[in-house]
Amino acid sequence: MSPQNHADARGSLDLLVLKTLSLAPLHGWGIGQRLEQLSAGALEVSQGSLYPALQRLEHGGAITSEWRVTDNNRRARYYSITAAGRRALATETASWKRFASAMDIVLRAT
Amino acid sequence: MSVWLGLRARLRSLLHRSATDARMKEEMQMHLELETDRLVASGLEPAEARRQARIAFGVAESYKEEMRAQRRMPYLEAFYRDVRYALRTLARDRSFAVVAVGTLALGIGAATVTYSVVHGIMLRDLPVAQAQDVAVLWQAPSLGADEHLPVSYADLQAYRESSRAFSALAGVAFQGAVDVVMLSGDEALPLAVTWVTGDFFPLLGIAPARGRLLRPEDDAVGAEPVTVISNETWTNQFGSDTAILDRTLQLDGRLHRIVGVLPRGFSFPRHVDAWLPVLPSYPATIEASADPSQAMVFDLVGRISSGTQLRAAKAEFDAFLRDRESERPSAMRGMRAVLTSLPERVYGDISTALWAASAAVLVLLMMACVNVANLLLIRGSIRTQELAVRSALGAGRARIVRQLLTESFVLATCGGLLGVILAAVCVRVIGSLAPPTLPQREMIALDGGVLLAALVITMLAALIAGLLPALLSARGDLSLWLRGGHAAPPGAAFRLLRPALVVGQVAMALLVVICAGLFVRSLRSMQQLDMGFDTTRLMVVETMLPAGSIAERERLVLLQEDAISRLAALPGVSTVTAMPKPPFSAQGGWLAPFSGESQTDEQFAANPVVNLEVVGPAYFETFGISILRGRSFTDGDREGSEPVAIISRSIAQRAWPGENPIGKRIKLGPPTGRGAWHTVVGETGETRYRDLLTSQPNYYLPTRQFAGPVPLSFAVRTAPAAVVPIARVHGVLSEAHPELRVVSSGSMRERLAEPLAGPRFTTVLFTTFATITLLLAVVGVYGALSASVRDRQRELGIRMALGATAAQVTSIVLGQCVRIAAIGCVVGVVLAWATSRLLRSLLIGVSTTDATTYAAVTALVLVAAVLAGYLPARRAGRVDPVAVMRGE
Repeated sequence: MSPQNHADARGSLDLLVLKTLSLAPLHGWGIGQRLEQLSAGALEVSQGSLYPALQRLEHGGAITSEWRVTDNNRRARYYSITAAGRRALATETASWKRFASAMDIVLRAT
Repeated sequence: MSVWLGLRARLRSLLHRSATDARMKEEMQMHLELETDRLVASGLEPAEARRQARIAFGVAESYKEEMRAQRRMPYLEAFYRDVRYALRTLARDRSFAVVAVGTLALGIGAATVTYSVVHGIMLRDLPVAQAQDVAVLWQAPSLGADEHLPVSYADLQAYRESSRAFSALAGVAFQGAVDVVMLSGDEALPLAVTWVTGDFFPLLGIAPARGRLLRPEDDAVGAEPVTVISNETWTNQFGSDTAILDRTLQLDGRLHRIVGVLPRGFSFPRHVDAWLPVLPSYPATIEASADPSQAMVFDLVGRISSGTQLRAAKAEFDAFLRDRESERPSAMRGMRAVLTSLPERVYGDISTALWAASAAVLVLLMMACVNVANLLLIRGSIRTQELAVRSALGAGRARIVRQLLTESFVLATCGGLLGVILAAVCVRVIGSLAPPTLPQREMIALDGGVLLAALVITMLAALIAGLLPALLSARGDLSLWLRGGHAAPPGAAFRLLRPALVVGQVAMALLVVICAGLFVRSLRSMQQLDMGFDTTRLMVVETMLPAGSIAERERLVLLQEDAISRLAALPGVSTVTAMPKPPFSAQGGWLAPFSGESQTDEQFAANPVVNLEVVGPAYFETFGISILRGRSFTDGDREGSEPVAIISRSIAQRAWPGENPIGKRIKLGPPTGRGAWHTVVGETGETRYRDLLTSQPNYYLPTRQFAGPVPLSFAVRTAPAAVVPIARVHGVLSEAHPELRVVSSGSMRERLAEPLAGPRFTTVLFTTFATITLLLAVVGVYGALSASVRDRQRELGIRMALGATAAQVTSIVLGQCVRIAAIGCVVGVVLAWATSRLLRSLLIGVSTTDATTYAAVTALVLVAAVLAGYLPARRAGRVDPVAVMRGE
C-alpha cells in the first residue's frame, strides 16, 4: 500500500466514485471492487472511506440511493448517479486533467 | 433539481437520526460480509478472512463519526431542539399555553378576516384597465340640496365631441341599476339592469370571462338587442351554465340574447346583474313626449387623457356645463360638475367603515400581543432559576434569547394556525351575512394573498410578543438569583412598564366598546324610525306581467281593479291597493321636479326633486298614511275629471309657506313646461317608503288620471288578529289572472330588514370586536395583577405579619387594580372623544359623543376590570406571612 497510490484524498475519491457509478449503479462494496478492477490494481481505496464520500455526494445531489435486493437475496443500498452528478463528473474530470498537465509541465521543467 | 434532492436527503437524515444511523451500520456490516465472503472464496479461513476484511475496511468507528459529523446542521438542529423543548415546557404548563395560544388565535384570526375583507373590497384592482384613470361624472345644482342629477344624451354626445381632458366618454343610465323582472324561458328572474352606451365596455378595457362584451355596433337603432350578465348572476341564477351564450332574457317584450359574461369583481354601477345597450332598449320615461335626447339621462364615465389631472378634467366639465346653459330649459340652470374616480365610486362610501374596522382590529392584535408578552414575562420571572442554571452552564445571552424567541414562535405558530381556521369560518359567515349592497362582496375570500398576510401577521406577533419579555427576562444579575432562589424584584423602568401596558389595554378596550355601543344605538334608532306609514299587518306582493300578453291600457286597469277587489274579498283582509314599486327601491322610482302655482323660475330651480307615486283610492288607507288636510282620492278622480294631486307636507311648505295648500295648483316640471296643472286635494306627512334613511317628499296622482304604466303590485292590509296565508293570496291571483306572475311576496316587516342589512352588518362586526377586545383586556388585567401580587409577596407578607388582615391586603390589591383601571378609562374616554368623530358619517340618530353610551361603557369596563382583579386580590390575602418571612 504505497502512499502515492492511495486515493483517499477527498476530491479525487469523489471523482473516482462518480466515474464508477457513471458506468453502472452499485452498492458500497461493489464500488470498491470495481475501482480496483478499473485501475488494474494500481489504485487502492481504504474501503471504509467510501462511505463518508458516498454520503457527501448524496447530500450534494450528485447521486441517489435506494434499497435493492442482491442476487444472494440480501438487502443492499445501491447508489446511482444523477444528471447533476454527470455534469459534475464532466467538469471535475476536465479540471483534473488541466491540473495534471499543469503539474506535468512544472515537473518537466529543468 | 440536484440541490433539492440533496437537501431532501439531508433533511431526511436529520429527522430520522436513528434510522439513518442504523442504515449506516447495516451498510458497513454488509460490506464486511461481502469482503469476508470474497476472501473465503479465495481460500482463506473464515476467521482469518474476517480479520483481513476488517483491516482492509479501516477503522469503522472513525468513518461513522465522520459521517455523523457531515450530517450535522448546527443551526437547524439547535432550532429543532428548541422547538421540541418549547413544546414540552408548554405541555407542562397547560393553562398558560391555552390562554396564550387562544389569545394569539383571536388576534391573528381577527386580523386575517379583516384583511381578507379589506383586500377583497378595496385593495384588489378592479378588472378595469387603469381604473384610477376612469372617472364618473354627473351634475348637481349649485344651490340647494346636494343632489345627483343626470346628464342628457344630447349633452353626452356634445361633450364627447368637444372634450380634450377625456380620451373617451360613455354613458351609463342615471343612478345605476334598476330592479326589473326578466324572463328566462318561462322563469321570472328579478334582476338589476342598467343601460350603457356602446363605448362603455371598450372604454373600460375589461376582458370578458365568456363570450364578448357590448360593442358600439350593438348600440344602434334597429340592432339586435343583446345583453351581458355579471359573473355572480351567471353563477347564482344560471348555475355557471356553459351554454349561457345561447340563452335569452326577455324584458318588456323584447328578447335580449346573452352574448357575454363579465369577469368576477365587476358590477358597476351598483350590483348590476345585466347590462343592456341604450338605443335598442331604453325605456320611455315620464317625459316621453318631450325631446328624446333630453329624455335619455345618464351618468358619464370617462377615461382621463394621459397627462391630465382629475381636477383639470373636472374644471373642463364644469365649463362645458356652463356653456350649455343657454341651450337648456330654465329647469337645468346653474349646474356644477361632480366627478369621482371609478374606484372611489365603487367602494368610496364604505371605505370609512373599513378603515375603522381595520384600526379596531390592529388595536385588537396589539392587545393580544401585549397580553401574550405579559404572560411570557410572568413565565420568565418564574423561570429565572432555570435560565440562571443555563447561563451558568455556558449559554450566552444571545442563546437564551434565541430559545425564548423560539418559544414565542411556537406559540405564535399554534395561535396562527388556529387563527387561520377561525378566519376561514368567519369569512364564510361573512359571505352569507354580508348585505347585498356591500360592494365587491364576492371577492371576499381566504385566498393566497390573504394567507400570506396571515403568515406575516403571525411572525410579527411572535416577534413582538416574544422579543420584549425575552430581552427583559435574560437581563440581570443571575448569580444573585441563583443564590436567592426566588423571583428578583423588577427594575424601575420595568415596574412602570406593566401598569402602563394595562392602562393601554383598558383604554383601547374602552375605545372599541364605545364605538360598538355607538353603532348599536345607531342601529336601534334606525330600526325605530318613523316610517310615515303603518308597517304592521301589511303584506307586499310584487307581480309582473310578461310583456306582450296584454297591451291595452284599459284592460290593464280593469285587471288591476279586478285583482284588488278579489283580494279585498278574502276573509281577514281590510283593504288592498296597488302600488307602483316595492318599498325601498330608492333608485328606479319615478322622480320629478315640481313647481307650485305661484313660484318663480328661481324658486323652481331650488325645489327638491320629489318622488312620484301613482296610486289608487285605497292607497292611503291601506298604508295607514294619515291625510293631514283635505281628502284622499276617490273613484271620481278618473279620466275626464279635474286633474288632482295629493302632496306631502314638505312640498306644500316649499310651494306655499305657511298657507293651506288645498285648492292650489301644482305641476310636475318647470312652471312654463308642458305638464298639466294638478289641483291639490289633500296633504299628507312624509314617508320613508322609498328610502329608509331619508324621508322623501311624495307627489301622489290617481292611477286613472295618469298615462304611464299601470301599477300591478299589491299591498294587502289584514284586519287585527286575522291570519291570511300568503298561499291564499297567490291562489286568488293565479286563479283569476294566471298570466300575472308573482315575483316576490312577504310581509312589510320582512322587507324592512333589507335596507338595514348594511348597518346591521357593521354593528355585528364591531360588537364582535368589542367583545374580543374586552375579553383580552380582562385577561390582561388579570395577568398583570397576578404578576404584581407575585412580585409583592414579601411586602404583603410583611404587612400581614405586622397585623394587616387578609381583607385589608385584598383591598390594597383591589385598590391598585381600580386605580389602574380608572386611569385606563380616563385615557380611553379621551381617546374615544377625539377619534369617534371619524365615525360620524356612519351613525344615524346618535351623536359621536353620546353621554349615555360613554357612561354605560365606562361603568362596564370598570366592573370588568375589577372582576378581573378579584382572584389575584384574593390570592394576595392568602399569602402565608410565615413562609414569606422565612424567605421562600
